[in-house]
Amino acid sequence: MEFNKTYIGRVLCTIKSLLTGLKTTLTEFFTRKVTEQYPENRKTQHISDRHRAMLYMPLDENGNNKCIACGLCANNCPNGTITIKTKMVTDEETGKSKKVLDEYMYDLGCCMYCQICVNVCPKDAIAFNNQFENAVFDRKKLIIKLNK
Amino acid sequence: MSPTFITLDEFRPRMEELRRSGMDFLRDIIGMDWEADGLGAIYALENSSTKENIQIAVRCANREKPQIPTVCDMWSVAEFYEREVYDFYGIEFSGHPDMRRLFLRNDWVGYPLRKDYDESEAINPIRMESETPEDLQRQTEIEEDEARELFVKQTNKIFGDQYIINIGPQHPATHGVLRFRLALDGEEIRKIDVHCGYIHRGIEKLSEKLTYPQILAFTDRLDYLSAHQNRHALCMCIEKAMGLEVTDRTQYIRTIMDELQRIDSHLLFLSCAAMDLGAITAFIYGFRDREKILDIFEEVTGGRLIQNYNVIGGVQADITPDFAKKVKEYCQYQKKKINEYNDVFTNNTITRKRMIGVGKLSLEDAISYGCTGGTGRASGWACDVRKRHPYALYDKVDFKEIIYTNGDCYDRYLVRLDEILESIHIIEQLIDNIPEGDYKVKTKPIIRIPEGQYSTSVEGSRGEFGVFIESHGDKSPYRIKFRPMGLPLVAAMHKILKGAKIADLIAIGATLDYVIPDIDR
Amino acid sequence: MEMKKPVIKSIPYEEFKDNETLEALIQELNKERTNVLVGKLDDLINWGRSNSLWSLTFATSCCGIEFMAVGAARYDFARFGFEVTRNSPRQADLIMVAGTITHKMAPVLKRLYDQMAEPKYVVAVGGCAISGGPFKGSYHVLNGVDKIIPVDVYIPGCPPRPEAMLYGMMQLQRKVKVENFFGDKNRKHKRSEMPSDPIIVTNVPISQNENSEEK
Repeated sequence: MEFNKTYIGRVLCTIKSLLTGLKTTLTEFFTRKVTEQYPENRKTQHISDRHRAMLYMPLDENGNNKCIACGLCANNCPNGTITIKTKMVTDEETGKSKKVLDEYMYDLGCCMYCQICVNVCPKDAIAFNNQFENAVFDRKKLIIKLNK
Repeated sequence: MSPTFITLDEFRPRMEELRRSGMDFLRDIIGMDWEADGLGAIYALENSSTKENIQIAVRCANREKPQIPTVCDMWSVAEFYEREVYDFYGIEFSGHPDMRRLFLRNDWVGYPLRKDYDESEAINPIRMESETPEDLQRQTEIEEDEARELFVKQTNKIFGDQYIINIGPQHPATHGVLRFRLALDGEEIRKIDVHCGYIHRGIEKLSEKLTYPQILAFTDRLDYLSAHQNRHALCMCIEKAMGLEVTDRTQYIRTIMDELQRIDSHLLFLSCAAMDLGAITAFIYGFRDREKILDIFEEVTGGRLIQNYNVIGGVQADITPDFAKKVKEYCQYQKKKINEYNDVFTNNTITRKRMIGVGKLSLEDAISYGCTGGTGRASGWACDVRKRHPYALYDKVDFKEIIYTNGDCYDRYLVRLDEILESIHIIEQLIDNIPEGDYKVKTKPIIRIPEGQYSTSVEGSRGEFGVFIESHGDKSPYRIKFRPMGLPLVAAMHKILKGAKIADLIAIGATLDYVIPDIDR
Repeated sequence: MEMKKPVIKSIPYEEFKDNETLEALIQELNKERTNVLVGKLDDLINWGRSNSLWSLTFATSCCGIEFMAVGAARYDFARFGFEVTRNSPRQADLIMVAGTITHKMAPVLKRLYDQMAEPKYVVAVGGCAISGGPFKGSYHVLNGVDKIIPVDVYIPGCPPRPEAMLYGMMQLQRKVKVENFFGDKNRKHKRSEMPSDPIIVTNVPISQNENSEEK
């Protein structure tokens, strides 16, 4: 945009730039707004399925989880978010004892959502869901037991 | 490629000869600790006209007091790179004008990246008093005045007698936590001292204890606005070292995601540049358009800012069926919206007065400081890695490299605005032709790299991002180094700010477009 | 006595997480019975306070970009009353610590927190502020900002979605609504702990060019 050296030229340039700004404002005034009305739209909002908000253990038809307590997820986690406690259980029919899961503790305050635990699990026992409403007042409430 | 080892005595003559023969771009200085063989550094040089690359390595066996001659008279960016190597390894560079730590506190004990560093809390506890900056430490001299009386003269070590003000680290306009101390004369800036390190997280040291898949998650958090490109660089380096070929489908997906990330980053650049100059409307418009890209990212990768998408051998999950349709809709939308930014911000008379002619960076300085990316291209340097050393699909698509010649703030802003249109052009050439195939190649569960040194570079949103890995055959790297895109820009600030006023500092900082976690790693 | 439950429009009380801590707080604050008039005045003032919490511009790394996105047009926090972010700590009500805090930044954060005026709140946003996050094993990272300042609300995520941050702010609003404004029961430092003697500064840097005699 060349600035004219004459006074009238400069006045006209100024008016033109003011009108450009006004045109933009009026266009925006009549455009649909993009604001999402959270929390009023909690029932209808669309969050992507792949969004990673929290780890959970999907249950099969009998309500059991699929974890075999191998410990691969806890060993591969880069910063120690997962802690697994196992116990030995004796099978009544065969008399052999095997290792099963006692407690699966997941620290929501440390997790970096790198998906290494989900990728190495041999039985697909853990997955991410998109429940993002997790803010709490107390740090201890963020350490969650995943197996019910 | 492997570096050439030379001895300390022939180091300085050899570097002078290389500089005379045209190697004017010092890409990186990588400090190394070779344990029994001593401490040292690897210098990566490139010739900006012929694109020839060379790596020179030098080491000194003395671990108590290691010393290497400086090269900062030949390449200006070496001032900051050598300070970084001193900070992490303790190697002193003889002849350096200002040998201080760069990232850590000046009362930190020890050199962290050495292999025998002791990380216990007792040596370096959390100190709750701020460090005293060096320019407040007095150096005293005893002088005689006319009456033959002795008196003590105290002068400021860095700034001399001038009036100093402090900006940051918590400041709305510094784009993160960066601290400047300025010496002023009225409103003009005489000298600037940059304090980095407020977000130094020690990623390179942490990576030496983790396996390669675990390191991938850190690259997203280095420069979070070129997350795809950073992770692409690291995956490319590891795949090159292993000799692994990825499928064509992966290359297409990676290239398209890189370009979408570049548009996202440039929109955020223009939003923040506008906000720093006071035009908050343009900030809201830029963020509104950026949300559309973030929706596309979230549908495919599951994350808005930290996407976690590239893995070794491919990508984490396949693209969704309506990916192509959404991307094409977005490209049409964005082309129309650029006109709106031009109306509201670019052609505005206030913007032009504040940015034209302000903060000039000449071509020789840009090359000497290694300022790649939009800043370098605005000064006339054709430094785009996508054209110089093509990777992925960039040699098969047709796009222009945007170069302007004035090197002032307005040109730096225009470069990025034009690059948005070029990225849309690249995406439109690729989006309809994604071939079928696997999105990931199967790899072994534990990934080991053969012994040797490997390096790659990609064009991140802010410049050339490089990865250097030295491996001794284990599942963790022996040394991994990321070339920061922003450190050369911050190093060049004191040259750009000659004769500028304080208000210009804000405009220059906004258009240089650095992101602090990338500088501090 | 009937416990007063804080009401947030559009989300019923039972659907909020961590109601137990809030109820324990209410019981502790209301151990003595209060005057009905003071109670009603408290409710009015708390309603005003909770709907206009202005935060300090403080963002260190990636969570800062999501914080800026909460302020932008799509997830607008001005709808809740958190209209602007104040640049000076003296004028801010709360500090949202978004991003990693390192050893070099820790004294700066403590100084900013000390400079804020009561009543003040701290929200730890993201994994790095809660526990050090991805960088927990690093030599230069503070493992959780609650080591140096008291935290009111923790918002997990890496980085948390803008809606998750708004949910965290609504939790903070609930906490503000149950406080007793009069009779400083919810001061974080008791009056007896505050220093009563004037603070004397001893190591002022000497002004430049000051000549002093020395033999």
